[in-house]
Amino acid sequence: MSGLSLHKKLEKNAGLLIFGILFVSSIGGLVQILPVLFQDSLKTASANTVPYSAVQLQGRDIYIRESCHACHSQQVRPLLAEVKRYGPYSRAGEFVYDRPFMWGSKRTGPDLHRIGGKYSDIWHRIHLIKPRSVVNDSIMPAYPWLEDEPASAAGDIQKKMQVLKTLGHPYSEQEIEAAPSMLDGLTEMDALIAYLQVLGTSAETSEEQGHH
Amino acid sequence: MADMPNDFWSGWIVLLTAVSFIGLIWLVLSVYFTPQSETQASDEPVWDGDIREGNTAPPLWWFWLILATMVFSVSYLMLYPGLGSFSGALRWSMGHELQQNKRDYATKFSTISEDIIASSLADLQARPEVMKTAGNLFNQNCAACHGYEAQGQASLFPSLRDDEWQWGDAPEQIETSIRHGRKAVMMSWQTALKDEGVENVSDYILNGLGTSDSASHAGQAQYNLFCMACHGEKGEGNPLIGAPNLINDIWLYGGSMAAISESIAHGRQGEMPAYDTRLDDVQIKILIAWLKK
Amino acid sequence: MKEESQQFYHDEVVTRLVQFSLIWAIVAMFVGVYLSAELLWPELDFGQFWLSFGRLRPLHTNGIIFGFGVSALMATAFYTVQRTSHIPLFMPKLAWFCCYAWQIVVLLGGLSLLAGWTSTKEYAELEWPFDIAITILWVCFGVVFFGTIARRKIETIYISNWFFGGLIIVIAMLHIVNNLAIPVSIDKSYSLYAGAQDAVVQWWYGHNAVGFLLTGGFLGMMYYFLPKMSNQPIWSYRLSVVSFWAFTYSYIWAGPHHLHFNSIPEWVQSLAMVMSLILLAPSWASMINGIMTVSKSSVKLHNNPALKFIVLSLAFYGLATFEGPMMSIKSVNVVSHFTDWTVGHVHSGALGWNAMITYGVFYYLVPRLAGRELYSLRLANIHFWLALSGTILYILAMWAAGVSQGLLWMSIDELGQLNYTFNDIMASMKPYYGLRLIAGLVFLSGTILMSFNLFMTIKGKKTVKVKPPTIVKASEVAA
Repeated sequence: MSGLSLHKKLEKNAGLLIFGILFVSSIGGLVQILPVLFQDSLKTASANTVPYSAVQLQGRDIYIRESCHACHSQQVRPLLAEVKRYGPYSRAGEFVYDRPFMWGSKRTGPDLHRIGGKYSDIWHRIHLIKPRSVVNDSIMPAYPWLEDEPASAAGDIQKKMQVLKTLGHPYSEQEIEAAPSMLDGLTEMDALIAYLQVLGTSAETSEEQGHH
Repeated sequence: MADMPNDFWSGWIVLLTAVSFIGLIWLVLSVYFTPQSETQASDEPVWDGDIREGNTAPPLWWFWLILATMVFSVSYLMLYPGLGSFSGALRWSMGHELQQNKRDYATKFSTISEDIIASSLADLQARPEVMKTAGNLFNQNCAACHGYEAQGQASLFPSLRDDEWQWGDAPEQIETSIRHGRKAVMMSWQTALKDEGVENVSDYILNGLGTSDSASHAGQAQYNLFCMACHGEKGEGNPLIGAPNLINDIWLYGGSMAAISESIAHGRQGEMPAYDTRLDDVQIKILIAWLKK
Repeated sequence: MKEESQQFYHDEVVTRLVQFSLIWAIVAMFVGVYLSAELLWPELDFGQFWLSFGRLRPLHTNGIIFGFGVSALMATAFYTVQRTSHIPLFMPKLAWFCCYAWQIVVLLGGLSLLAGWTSTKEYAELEWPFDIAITILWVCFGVVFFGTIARRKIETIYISNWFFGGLIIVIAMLHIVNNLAIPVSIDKSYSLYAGAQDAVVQWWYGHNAVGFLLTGGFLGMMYYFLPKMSNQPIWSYRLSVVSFWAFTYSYIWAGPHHLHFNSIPEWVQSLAMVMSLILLAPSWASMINGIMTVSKSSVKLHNNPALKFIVLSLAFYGLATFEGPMMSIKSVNVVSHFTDWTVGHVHSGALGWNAMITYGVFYYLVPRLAGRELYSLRLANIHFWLALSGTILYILAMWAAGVSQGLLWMSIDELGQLNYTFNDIMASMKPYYGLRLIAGLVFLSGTILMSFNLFMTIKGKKTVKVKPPTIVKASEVAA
């Protein structure tokens, strides 16, 4: 049989055509997606990687809400210049508690994967409220409203941690129990900064530094 | 990298890829090289009154195009990791390539690096290309806080271009500041001093310290009791513990009465993060040379 | 049997979808222009959370893809499938439901993005309630479309319908798998996948939303309207067959080229790269098919904005589908990834291909739906030049911006240190961003001109009633 005669059967039978499209278009996913989903090394936390604390998790969800990923990647590629600029390159094992992933696709601003510990909390606070007061040329938006809302505003931190627990994040009952009190008195700004400060801090500090 | 699929999934990947590749080749060949006569159907459909499918033979160059991309693909998958756990004839990986690039880099710049480490700060300061690089390095790593060209900013991050070095201006002290960071601990004195005390001490610092009639000032007793241990009797400061000089008219957090009262009442916790994992020896050395210039 | 084929085509829903599509085009393109201005003057968000770049950006992309794009695709799919099946739409009420409910979902979805409801997955940002609504509506779309095909009066299914069928089937598969998540609250859910796995799933979706919606779906448009406008058979049936199946096969693999040198296994990257290169052939096959069809035609391009737009769109289609495979080569991607080059590439497809072919089709379609000549040929000709110059300026500006970002980020000085700070490079983008803003304004003004032109064309007119050709062949409005 030739491809042409097979096609002539499909184009005369809607059911067969639907099946044909479904079959042909699913091959790529079967080859790429399935094995990736079953690959254990991609869901095994690297040595220092632990689930986000209640405050960091809340901060991460604020990062998500403001779509920071639209301008900032969290992915240091294994390229010399990139490692020199940002630090050790990103490893899959560092992202196993990232739902969803925050790697981004555009660097209008710099990569943030190794931002944790690079600046003091107070710098982040000033920078988020008035970016151009510390970085002259910055084109980053200001986020003044983060100071106004308490970190616990939505009141769903325990629900979030429970959902993540069912997805396999190892939170203990005590951690979930204590979560609301961890957020007590903190603003969204505090939570976001807590998240930024933990970003990329689980890098293995072996020879993977930007050093030579 | 260690992210290779196990044997089952590896076989799955290879098999499906190979079979579907063959399927694609079969499709192209069989459709492309069907004799013209066979493609002419007697009951050729006409849609919507006038739409037909033409019977032109597809151009041969298109066949060469897809053939070329497929030949390239097969060759690529033989050379590079792609077919499951087969790592390709070149044994290439992202991690290996980075290591190789780092080795090349080290070879290329090792002389320069050794030379910099061996040079005195004065020698480095005399080399314009080193100073240019150091300036870049500063702007890349330090300027977000200390401002472009290190002039300080936001009444929080000190200028590195004035005479005041809170943690000391010796090259070794600067190196410690860069490598391990600094954390200042000026406590809050509101409870101890109360509003009046804060005002008196602030005024003493502004108007009494270092003057001839300091002894008669209302704030002196409290200054000596609470502040002198760190900032010194004459307000000369102590770089060993990061206590700033109070008489040189350089005020990180502002030199107004209000700003000084604020510092005393609520304390200050200026923080410099540690950069020893972000900067290497060469970078730190030329940064110090640049800062001391 | 006879009774049924004497019914009229359901074209009113097509008219309405075209109108919605035009509204979304203006809204979403305006948001795009506003975003590009924010990159020059960040204070333009006036400290309002809903005007913040991060929240507006998904409104721009979703507004274009789901508002403008899908409305246009539904309109042309409904129009085409009736005429190539020689029968009115199956379940026309359901088609109306699709039409209106889709607009409501896009509108509320857009507002929810401004409110900060987002899953962050590109082109799949809408949170789970909207994902469910979209799934239901997509199934309805499929029922109307395949129901019409199932009852067709002509045995062979026309090529446009292969592509529209591919659009409906593959997007459904991608949408469902990529959006699997566990809800926390009405506005928040956590993805079923994490980290590297989530990234691979997302770009399998993201790339193929481009593939089967923005490429395949719009090829469906091309394969009906181009032969119709140029009074020619589609040039080579065999090329159509080979390109359709090779396209459907290879596109799906290409997603992970969005993750070159990222923390995903190398084998996935390599397979994505080679399949992206193979994809060049079937992509170009459709371009050749289109261009050769027109080249055989005696219909003049002069004063024929519809045909001019479609021919131009094929040129940009050829450019974008060449550029894509090139950018998927790992050593090129090292430079292009994370830069404005990607933004330029997307827009050479979105402006040059998707928008232009839609404009061409609308210039053809609306006078026929209205049963009246186009309101102003002159405005349409002006629009053509605005669209062309806007697109070219946009692409050039982003090429220049992207290539310089990519190279400057990697530049090492004589001491082995980085040559430029991130800030310096970012600040040097200002002129390019300025040009891009102008390009966007030019393109948007053309779109507004066209919308005015088309609304004036259809104003006060009821959609023309057309019967399937088996009964009254001449009822088709003359070209």
